[in-house]
Formats: sequence, C-alpha cells, structure tokens
Amino acid sequence: MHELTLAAEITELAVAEAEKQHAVAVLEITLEIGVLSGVDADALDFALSLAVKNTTMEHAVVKIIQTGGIGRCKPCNLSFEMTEIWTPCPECRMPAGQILNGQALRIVSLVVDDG
Amino acid sequence: MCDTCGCGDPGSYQIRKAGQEKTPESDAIHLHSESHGHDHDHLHAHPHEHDHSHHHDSFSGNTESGKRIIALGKDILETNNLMAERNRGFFEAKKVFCINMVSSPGSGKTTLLEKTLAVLKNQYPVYVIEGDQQSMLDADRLAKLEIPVVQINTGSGCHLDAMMVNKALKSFDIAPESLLFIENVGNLVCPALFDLGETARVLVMSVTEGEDKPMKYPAMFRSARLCIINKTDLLPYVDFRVEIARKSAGIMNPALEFLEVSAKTEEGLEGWFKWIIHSINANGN
Repeated sequence: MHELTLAAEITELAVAEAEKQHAVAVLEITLEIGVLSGVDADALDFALSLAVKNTTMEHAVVKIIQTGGIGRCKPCNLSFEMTEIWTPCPECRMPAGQILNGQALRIVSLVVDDG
Repeated sequence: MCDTCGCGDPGSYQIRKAGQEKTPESDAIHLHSESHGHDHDHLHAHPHEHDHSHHHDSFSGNTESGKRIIALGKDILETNNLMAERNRGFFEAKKVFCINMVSSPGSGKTTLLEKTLAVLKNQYPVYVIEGDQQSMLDADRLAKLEIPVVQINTGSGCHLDAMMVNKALKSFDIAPESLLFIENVGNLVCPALFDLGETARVLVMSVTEGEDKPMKYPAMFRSARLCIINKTDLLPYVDFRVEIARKSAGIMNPALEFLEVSAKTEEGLEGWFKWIIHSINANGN
C-alpha cells in the first residue's frame, strides 16, 4: 500500500505549489502513472481521497493518465510494447534490457482557483 | 494500513539507538498531518486516457475566470530520489558500502545479519540501520554483537524511505571504508519503489515461501542485484524447487545473481561473505 505514501506526497506537493502561486484551492489534478511503475491507479485514487482531507485540494477532481510501457531489446535492436514488467522481446523472448517508457509517476498539471 | 491512512497516530516514525528507551520526546516526526478521515464524498473522475501526455517546462494559463492551469511535470518520488542521491554521495565520499536488505517478513534477514556481522565486524567497521514497524527487538539482538545499531520504527509505515535513512545516518559517526547494512521493513511490494541511496540491494527469500514469488513481486526482483535463497536446510521438508525459483527470478532480472544459504546451519555463508568482499573491492573501496 505504498499508494498511501504517494498520495500524501502528491497532496503535499500540489498544495505547496498552489500556495506558492497564491491560489486558494486546487480544483483539479492530473497525474501520469506508468503501467510499469508498480503503482495501482485505483489504489492511488482511493488513497488520494483520504490524503486530501482538510487540505486546499479536498474537492479536487483527480484525473489519472495511464501511460503504456515500452521496452528495448539491445541485441535485437527492437523497441516493443510492454504490458508487464516481464514482457519479453517478441523476437528473442528475452526480458527487456531497458525500460524506455511506462515507469513515470508524475504530477502533470493542476487547475487552481485564484479566488 | 500504510503510514498515511489517517487511523490513530500513523504519521510518525521514530529513530532510536539500540538500548535507548522510548521517550515522549523521542525523535518523532509527523509526516502527513492532513490525511485523517475516511469519507469518500469527493469528486473523482477517472478518465484513464491511454495517450501520452505532453509536458511543457513551465506553463501557466488562464481558463475561465479565477481558474488557472499550472503545468507541473513533477516527479512524485522526487523528494525521496533527491535524498537518496545525497545518501549515495555520502557513501561514495566515505567509501561506505551500503547494502539494503529486502524480503518478505520471516525470511531470516536478521539471523543472516547476525551471522554475517559476527564475522565481518572483524574485517570492516560495520553499522546497521534496522527498519521495523514497531519494537527494538531486532536492534537489540544485533547490538549484542557490540556494533552500532539504530532502529527506525516506521509506525504503520510499510517501508523505509531515503529521508529516514538520512536522519538515521546522523546518529552514527561513520568511519571511512566501512560496511553499512539497512534491514528494510519486511515487505516485497513497497520498498521496491523507494531508493535509499544504497550501493546494492540484496533480496532474501526463503524456501518456506513459494517458488513462484518472483512472478508475484516482479518489481522487487527486478531491482535487486543479489537474491539469497535462505533456509536451505529445510529443503527436504518443503516443495520448494530452487531451480524453478531461480528461473522465474531470472525472467524478471537476467542480471540477478543467486546464493543459496542456511543462516541457521551456516551452510553457504562463506559464499555470501565472499560476495560482499568482492563487491566492496569491485566498488573501489
């Protein structure tokens, strides 16, 4: 359940940013969660509903963009889609040596209320 | 639950030296004061758009009156990762070899550490940071070896993070060219995400666990450098097939190294000590 820790971190970062920019509330937050990040989007959504209580983002709409995974197999010189962290190279069936995309955990944007 | 669920007093962790009593003033830090309550009357949209987002370095645009978009593009783990790099820089400068030991609960990490430290304390200055949700039990066990041990109690937290480790490091006066073990909270899920700044991550699994564990917890197996298969003395009594476990872990992480040991009977421990010494030398210490 590290989603709860992350939810608290997200809340802290977003609230601090809104405060820095003299906004009175966060109305919307957009997150990018990679499918290979090890974070469950539904669990994070639930955790956020707890973490935002009594903050300026208590009523914020949470939007989660799940980005797909892309791996690279060096020997085959091939990039391929990964749905799981162990998705193998479609040519040689070896696990991806390198994960190019899909591990992001990012706050993309906020919509704030300037009051 | 984790360290932010809002139940009871979940948001603090404590750092104590072995032998130090818990006091009301002991080093408690409240992490997430705003996360109490369990209502769900919030407005959560769930678009699950499967496209790629575009990031702008810095963008702030006005929408309707009073509403403004702030493009952040901020890594959620940034605070932890920056602190992990600070820890790593400290280890490099001091030539400290730091091993982050991860496993599920009950794999035998503490026993393995006891046996390891009893031998290696004669070759290197050794230090231990113990992570558990509660109690000083593990720290007190290891402190009997007359080595510096600090216990981090994460409260209801399920993993150590780089900030806790950084704080714990300050309670030692770490000698150069030493060996530091961090025994993480027993959990194969959450600690995988949190870089502590360690030099190497060592995963301990025991033969009383399922051989399919690597398939169930791929992130942790992918992030480890070495997998120790412990309690091999029990192999005649369990259905665990070492080859299957190694094969499935190898699918997750082809570079993963393996050692088979029994911390109890000490069989295979020589190989583990050699691995540590070799890794320290290869690291340039």
